[in-house]
Amino acid sequence: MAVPSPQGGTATGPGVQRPEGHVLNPNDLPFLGAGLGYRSPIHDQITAHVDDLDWLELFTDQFLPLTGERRERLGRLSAGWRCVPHGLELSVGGDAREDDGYLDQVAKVVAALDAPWFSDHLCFSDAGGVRLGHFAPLPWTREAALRVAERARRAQDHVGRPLLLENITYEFSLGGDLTEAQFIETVVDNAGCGLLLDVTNVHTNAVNHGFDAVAFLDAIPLERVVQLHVAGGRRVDGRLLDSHDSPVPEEVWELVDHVTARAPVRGILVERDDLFPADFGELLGEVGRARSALAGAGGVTAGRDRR
Amino acid sequence: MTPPYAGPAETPGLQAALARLLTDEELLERFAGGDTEEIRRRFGLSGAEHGSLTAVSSGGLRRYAHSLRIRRLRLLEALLPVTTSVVTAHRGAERTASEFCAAYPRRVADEGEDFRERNAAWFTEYVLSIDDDRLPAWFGDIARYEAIRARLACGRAAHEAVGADEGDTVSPGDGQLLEASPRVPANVELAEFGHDVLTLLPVVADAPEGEYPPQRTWVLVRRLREWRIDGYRLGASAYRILTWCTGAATAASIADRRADETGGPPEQARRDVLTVIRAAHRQGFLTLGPVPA
Repeated sequence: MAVPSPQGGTATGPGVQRPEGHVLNPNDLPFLGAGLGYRSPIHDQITAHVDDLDWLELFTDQFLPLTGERRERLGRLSAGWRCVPHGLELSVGGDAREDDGYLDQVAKVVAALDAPWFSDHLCFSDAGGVRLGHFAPLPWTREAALRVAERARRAQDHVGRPLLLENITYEFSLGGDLTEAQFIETVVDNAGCGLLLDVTNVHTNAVNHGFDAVAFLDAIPLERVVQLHVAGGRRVDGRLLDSHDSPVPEEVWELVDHVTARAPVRGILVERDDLFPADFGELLGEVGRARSALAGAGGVTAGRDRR
Repeated sequence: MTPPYAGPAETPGLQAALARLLTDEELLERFAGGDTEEIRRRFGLSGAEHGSLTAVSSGGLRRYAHSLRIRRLRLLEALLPVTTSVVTAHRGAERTASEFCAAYPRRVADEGEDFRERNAAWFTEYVLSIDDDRLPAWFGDIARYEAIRARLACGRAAHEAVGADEGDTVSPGDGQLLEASPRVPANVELAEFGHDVLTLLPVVADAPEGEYPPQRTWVLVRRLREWRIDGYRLGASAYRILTWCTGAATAASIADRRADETGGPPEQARRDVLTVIRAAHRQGFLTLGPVPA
């Protein structure tokens, strides 16, 4: 689908009227249902359960550069499921020069999958010649939000499909003249992109930094939420770690229900990166729980978009 | 939790300073200990930027920096499983991650470079530099063998070479072959070890505390597909001949070189070279440069 482009570029955010004409509407995107993150250690289990998974999310960077061999792998996966690429290295808030070569490669993956959207993280991950290897928080300032929005919009235009930005967990904050929710709103409004809401990240930050997760959810632009991530972490020294290595906790599912009742979510994705359960049924159960959350939001699972 | 806003906090200098703090443990400790002027000078921070940075929780910075070091080690566990397992068992994960990240600061990869490959190469350099009598005698060989496998798994050149020549069952005649320039492609590497790494790798993965006798071994390692890396045992002569197959010399000149080295009859050297090259080509271990019609 065509990506709406901004008209005028007026800054939005708290107290500022949004510009007309470049608001991504999740309802224009296909409904994917409940899916699972594709990870090579569980490749065999995934391929043995084609009918139990509505869609898959792949790490974009594991397929770069898109060689013939990797294109074949993408082809095999996308023959069975709708697949969406999820990036780790866009560093949309970073200071490095925008890398058109990287975006060209991402665009090839998106095109090979005919993905309805692609996603990455609202953060910076490289600066000053240093690649952190993980996501670092940005200052919650209007200035930063507008700069990130411009880079996100250009990335979206370059790739030619809707971009979703994901909220991250953080161990520290750089502060700013906006709240985190206002920062997110200002970025997605001005970029004309969508939001990949990681509900576990909201829960993790709420526990670690002592705020109310529901109040946070009610403050972000839920109408821009296209996709959800859910995962389970570990508690170490009283803090939650976003480790993606345990079952999704009930508190997160309650937040999911809160969001799906209010947002036009097109897909929920269960993430498990490590300590995979011996019984794959455990992960399928979580995918089923996600499907129920979507169904409970108004029977929207009907007519899921499958290959 | 959220520090008071101290002014514009959105400059390349601030991000660069933060990135350096998060990846330089000693600098972070000096900063957290109160020496914040060093970072201000090094990155030319304004008063407002400096204020923003000093308002950040040092506990949060330390936790995040620690998670970065451990993540980097985890990345290596997938590529160099036995190497990381043995080193962290002897020295501890925290110490290993800390020493490695201090010695090899992470940086943005060069054009065309795969960071995983670079990271694995750095880690191998680091572990081979460790002077620790408690490490088993076979450890250096296994570390070098896993490094080759990692390079072939991640390296772009190896990736692109796969399938370029999957072997050829139709072999040229002796005359044609002697004029061709054989080359070991980028998805194949040759190496010599003091231990039998092909036998040892699966063994020490389960029993890393064991001691195993040395055994000189010549190995060819080939990447067939993503995550499909195979090792093959070679004889000393075949290994020697294949190391000369760089694409720069014809098989005939390789045969001359072999005859000079062994001091044996030139006919014997030529037969040996043609046998090795023909077999390697059939199995896809060699590409043949221009073969005359």
